[in-house]
Amino acid sequence: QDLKVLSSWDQSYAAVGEVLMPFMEYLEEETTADVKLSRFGPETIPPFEQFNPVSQGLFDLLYTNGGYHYNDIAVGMSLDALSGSAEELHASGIWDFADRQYQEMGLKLIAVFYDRNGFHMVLKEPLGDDALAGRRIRGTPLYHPVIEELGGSPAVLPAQEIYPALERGVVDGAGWPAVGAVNYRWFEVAGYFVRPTFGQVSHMLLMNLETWNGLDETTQSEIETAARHYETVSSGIFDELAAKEEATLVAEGMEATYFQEDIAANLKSAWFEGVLDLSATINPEAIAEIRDMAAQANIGG
Amino acid sequence: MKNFLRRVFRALLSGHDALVSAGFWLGSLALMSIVVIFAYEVVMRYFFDAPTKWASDFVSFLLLISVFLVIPHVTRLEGNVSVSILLDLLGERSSEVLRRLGFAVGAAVCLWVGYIFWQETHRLFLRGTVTLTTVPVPKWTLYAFILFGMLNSGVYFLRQALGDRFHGVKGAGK
Amino acid sequence: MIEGIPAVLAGVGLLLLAMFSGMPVFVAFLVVNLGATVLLLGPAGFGMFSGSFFETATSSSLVTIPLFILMGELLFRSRAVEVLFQSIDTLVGRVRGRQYILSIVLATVFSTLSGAAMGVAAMLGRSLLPGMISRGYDARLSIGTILAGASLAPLIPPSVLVIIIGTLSGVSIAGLLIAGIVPGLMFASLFAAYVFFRIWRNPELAPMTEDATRRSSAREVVLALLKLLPFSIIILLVMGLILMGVATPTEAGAMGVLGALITAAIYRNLSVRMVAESLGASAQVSAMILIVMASSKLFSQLLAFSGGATALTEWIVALEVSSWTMLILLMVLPFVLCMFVDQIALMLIVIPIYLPIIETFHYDPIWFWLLFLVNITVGGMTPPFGYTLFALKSAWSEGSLSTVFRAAWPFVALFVLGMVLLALMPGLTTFLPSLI
Ligand code: NA
Ligand code: NA
Repeated sequence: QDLKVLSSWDQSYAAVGEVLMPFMEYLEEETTADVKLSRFGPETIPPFEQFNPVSQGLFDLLYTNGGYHYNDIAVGMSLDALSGSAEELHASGIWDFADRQYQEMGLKLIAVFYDRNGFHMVLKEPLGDDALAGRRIRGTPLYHPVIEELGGSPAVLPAQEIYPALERGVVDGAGWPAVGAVNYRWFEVAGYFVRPTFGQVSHMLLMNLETWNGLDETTQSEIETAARHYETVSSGIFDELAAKEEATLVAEGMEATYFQEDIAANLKSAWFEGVLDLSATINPEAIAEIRDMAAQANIGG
Repeated sequence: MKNFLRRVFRALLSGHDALVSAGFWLGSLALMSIVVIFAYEVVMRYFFDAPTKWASDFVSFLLLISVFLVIPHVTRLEGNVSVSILLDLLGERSSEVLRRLGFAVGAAVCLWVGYIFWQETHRLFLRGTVTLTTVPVPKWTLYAFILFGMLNSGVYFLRQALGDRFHGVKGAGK
Repeated sequence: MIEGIPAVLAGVGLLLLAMFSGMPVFVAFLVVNLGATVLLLGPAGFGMFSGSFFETATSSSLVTIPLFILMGELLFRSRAVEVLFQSIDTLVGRVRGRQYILSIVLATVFSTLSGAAMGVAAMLGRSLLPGMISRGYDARLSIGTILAGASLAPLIPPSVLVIIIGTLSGVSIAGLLIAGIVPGLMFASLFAAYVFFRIWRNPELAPMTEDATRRSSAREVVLALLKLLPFSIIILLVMGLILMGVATPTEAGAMGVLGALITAAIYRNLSVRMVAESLGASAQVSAMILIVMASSKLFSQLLAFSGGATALTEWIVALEVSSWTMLILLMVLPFVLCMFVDQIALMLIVIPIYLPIIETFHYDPIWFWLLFLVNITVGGMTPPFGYTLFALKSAWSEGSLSTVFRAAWPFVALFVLGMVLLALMPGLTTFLPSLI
């Protein structure tokens, strides 16, 4: 069986080259049926338009971040607000809940590859006493609550415009997952990255529901087992990547700059509340349930 | 009776012309709004450190709105870019036939695209999907402009394919 | 269902056929794309079709196009361009072909800063071109200088294409940007040399106005310089705001429009009517350009979906040929494909496949990617498909696309000549980056 995988990023992005592509190979090995996976990237369909083509069956699998389709279903984006491992996500019941929600949209949740190193910001100038007061920080809507909580003004820019905007000082900093600044070479134009990081980045793998239902039971359970195993493996890969990323940034001349303690403590809850509030504008009931489950499992803000 | 039908028919055609002219002027205004919004954004960001959250999103919406409000007018003026090398080489009669054929194809595909966008607009309306922007906007409202642009361009291509009697006033709205 | 390389050939062939039958370019793209959607994807593909329309028409980087066209309209209607011509005549009246050099310089400066080759080609096609033709300058040579100057944009910073290449290939972005400076200047001098060569062979290509043949008095020179001041406001606004980090290149387009309004006011030509007419005309021109872009976007996506572009690239990379033959093949592929396909989509497909082969053959990365960059840029002005060509034609309502095509060829040839020079003399690209 040939399965088409659509990914939101090109292969130079570590979450694709170092996680998705090895997982595709792993899955081909782990299935007894002859399953072949081929990958297509954002040159086929732009990242923010990918959700419907996969739910309609043009592609069999989608590798993306929940924020890229939160206007269709915000359950995936809310996973970025949590603070637990993939195992804890299963134990809390949130994973299965999210799966059921996605199935209503014609998609089956296959795996959540968590990068638990989360999000950070690169800055042109180090942090002072007043966090980001008076600074313009690039960020998608996801980051706005945190940026504003820290006193900054959010500005929306596409990824490719971040480099020149930092270079010319159109923005004073940019929010992004902790892994990525090396790929985009922002170390050429910014001197600092903030610590601690906040939230965690979920990379979701979803399958078209009809494709899933068309698979025999053996293959289904093999895929489930392989995905479950790789959720743990990928988390380790991301940790290594993040460590390597930070070392590279330092080697390229960047320095860590630290939030003051009270601010750092506040950061985590600001992120949690901000992301969940945004998610709740789309799916209020589902997000309320996730909030409860997260609180019970103690993986909330 | 025949006269009456003809009058109704002329009224329909000029009604369509007026609709497209109105679209053209609104599209031009959308273009001006882009300039105004950007000027406001630059001033707010640079002098007051208070960039708006909506400027860049709204500007890109206005780009779409401007293009699809104006494109029927461009089609009416036969202003679309085309390669006329073959038409210039052919004799007058055959080139006219080919031109008409091109208009007919244009009508077919534009109306088809219009139909696709009608379905998509409808689907987005039922689902209530919003845009993936800082200030979310119902996505169907933007799709509706594409629907308007393609449908009316299709109708103009059709009028041009059918010949002179179906033409509006050349250069109307100019 | 056809796949792979045959799909590429079938798609491109059909597109050529549809286009040369004389139907509007955007209709030709729609015919092929709708047909391919039905064949490759079935009805489920219509969602992808509409998504691609929506995505293109709302992409913020394209907003620069209408803004620059509007700037051109305002300058043309306020007669600011006339004043510019007169001042240049007074200042360097004795240099034959001076206005060609002006158009190269203006096209290079504006498109370099804005990164919008299409917007600038349309802007100058509307403002500078009619003035040059009415003054007796050769239409084709004038068009060629505008297209060529505008196409230099991605070579000189700021440049989004360079940032994407750096991201995908891991080469230093700062290094690539610096590496583009010498080639950029070299291409500009090649164009100027070509213009002077053509005029030397045929002086009628560049008219000498009678009053310009005599030496201007000091008073006239000062007056000419003063008259240039309002025009400089625009260049200063656009250039200064970008360089100082006040505005993004897109926003600077809007600032340029404000500058054009100020210029018009200084020349006492500002009126509601003039502004309204400019808005109407620019809305039309930008709609013509953007409908072609929206309709054609899916072609690139389907090419990626069918696996055709990937198959073609992989086939070439696997050929067993010498280092130089491989270099030529690696350059010809994007040169040809970029005539039909969106530059960024092409880079996403091709660059990852190219990476290993660059190591195998020990090509210098900066040298290689700079050549690659020039290649994908020239695709935009190579007939019969080229957004820059369509943009200029949309703005130049009196002319025909065939004239624009013929005007482009000599300058495409100059680009190829320049690329050969760059390939043979790697120092031209690698020397400056080696200093940082
Ligand atoms: Na540039
Ligand atoms: Na081309």
